[in-house]
Amino acid sequence: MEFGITQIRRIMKDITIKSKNIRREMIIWLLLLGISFGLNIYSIIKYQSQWSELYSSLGFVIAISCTLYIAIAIIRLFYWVILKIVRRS
Amino acid sequence: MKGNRRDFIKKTAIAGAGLALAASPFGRTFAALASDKKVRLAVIGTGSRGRYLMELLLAQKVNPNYELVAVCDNYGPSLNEAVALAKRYKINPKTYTDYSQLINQSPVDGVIIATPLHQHAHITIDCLNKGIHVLCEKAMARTLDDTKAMYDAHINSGSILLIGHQRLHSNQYINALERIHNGEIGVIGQMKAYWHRNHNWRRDVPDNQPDLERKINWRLYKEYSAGLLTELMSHQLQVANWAMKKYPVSVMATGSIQYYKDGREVPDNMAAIFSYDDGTQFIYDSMTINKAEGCEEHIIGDYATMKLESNNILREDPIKPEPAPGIAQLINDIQNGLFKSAPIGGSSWAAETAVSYNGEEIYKGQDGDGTREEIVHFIDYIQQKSSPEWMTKEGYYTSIWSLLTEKSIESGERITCPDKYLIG
Ligand SMILES: NC(=O)c1ccc[n+]([C@@H]2O[C@H](COP(=O)([O-])OP(=O)(O)OC[C@H]3O[C@@H](n4cnc5c(N)ncnc54)[C@H](O)[C@@H]3O)[C@@H](O)[C@H]2O)c1
Repeated sequence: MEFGITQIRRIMKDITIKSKNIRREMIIWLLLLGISFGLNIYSIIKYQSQWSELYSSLGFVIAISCTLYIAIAIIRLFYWVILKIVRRS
Repeated sequence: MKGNRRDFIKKTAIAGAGLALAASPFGRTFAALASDKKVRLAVIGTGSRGRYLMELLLAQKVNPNYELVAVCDNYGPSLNEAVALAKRYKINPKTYTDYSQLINQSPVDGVIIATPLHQHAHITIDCLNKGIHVLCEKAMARTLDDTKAMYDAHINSGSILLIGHQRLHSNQYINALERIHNGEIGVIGQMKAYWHRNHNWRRDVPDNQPDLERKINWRLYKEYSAGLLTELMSHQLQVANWAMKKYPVSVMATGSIQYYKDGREVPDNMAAIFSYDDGTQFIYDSMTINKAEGCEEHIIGDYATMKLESNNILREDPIKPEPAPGIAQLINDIQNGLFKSAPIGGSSWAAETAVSYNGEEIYKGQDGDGTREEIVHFIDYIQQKSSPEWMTKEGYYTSIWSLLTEKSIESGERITCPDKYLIG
């Protein structure tokens, strides 16, 4: 079998988390947090709600940024797996 | 009407404070302090209502400062059932078949009178004149003159006369009416009430005693009752007067025996319009062949409508719930298809449909229709040796206007209240 145990081991070795990776992931998440925060400002203006929601809705904002992060992580994972397979063949 | 509105409000406020005091635990403690003697009570007329009142009296533990010392009924089976009921509560009241023996032989502080309507006035007057306080079932009396005579006996003797309009003692109604008087529903523009039931009102008469027909079915005969007017409408007319803090100036009514052509003499359906001096109308109807709409009182203001029986307030501009945070609204809109194609405009031919809005609850925590509280208050009033005068007046004018409604049905005319029945 071509895509067997050895193959997976090699992939596992590749996803060992390095501090450089952590910083990159943090930057991506912070970017998404910024976008979510912007969305909150947009919705406060659009729905004429309270400016106090800038902090009272922080929970929402963080939840949205995490959701976006996970969504993007899934897309990135797919992209990365496909890329690996393509490169190997 | 002699008394003006400001007078009414002033007196109602004072009496209302008295009621609130009596209704509160503090009021009861105060009352108990006023007299540590047990209030001795008797029930005259132990038919279906009388026994219900007896049961409430015997079962209630709120004010243990009373005792049921005697019961009276001139019909054997009713008296026997009352004795059996008392026995269940391990009580042995004296029994009488003649009320005058009861009030002459048994020392009582107060009586509850639940005899048929035509038997209210003379019993009440005799009790009041003997210094016995009276809780008499609504309506007050069968005739206008008897009603006035009852009121006069109350004034002249100084004894308490409370009429059995239990809504006056229901916390649900007290709360709703207080809010109406505080302007929560705005200016009252109209009141509407009805009592629809699907029942012919007939009671079974023993086969071997057909002569008991008129005694048992007294509600169906004009000599003893004004039927729907004194039995049902009087409750709701009292509520309308309470909401207005005044009494009608005229009534126009109609009624007929349309369905139950069984020898009864009182209408089986009726409708009436009462007018108040500011132009407000109270529109009322009652029927006995269909209960789909049940019993209700609508007090309609320019801000809101209160439906008192169903404990519901419908605001013209419903209080909007706190809006969700903007970001939550945004997510909601995205979920609901913010990006769907939007129509250029709504169709011009579509009719506006009624907003579906079920209103809000007025009051939580009232158990029953106020009859239990009415009895507790009556005992409290006896202990305090005084009762809110406005309540007696409510009973008085409600009875007067119920009987004037009958006059309007009979004459086909708009009826006003003769001066001799106006009280200060
Ligand atoms: N407040 C309410 O919601 C309410 C409800 C039902 C009845 N009521 C009132 O209660 C009263 C009684 O109604 P009911 O349905 O119990 O009637 P009922 O016919 O069941 O009972 C009346 C009783 O009074 C007795 N009686 C008649 N004349 C008497 C007399 N001279 N002395 C002693 N006893 C006498 C009768 O024998 C009978 O037992 C009526 O005035 C009625 O309007 C009020």
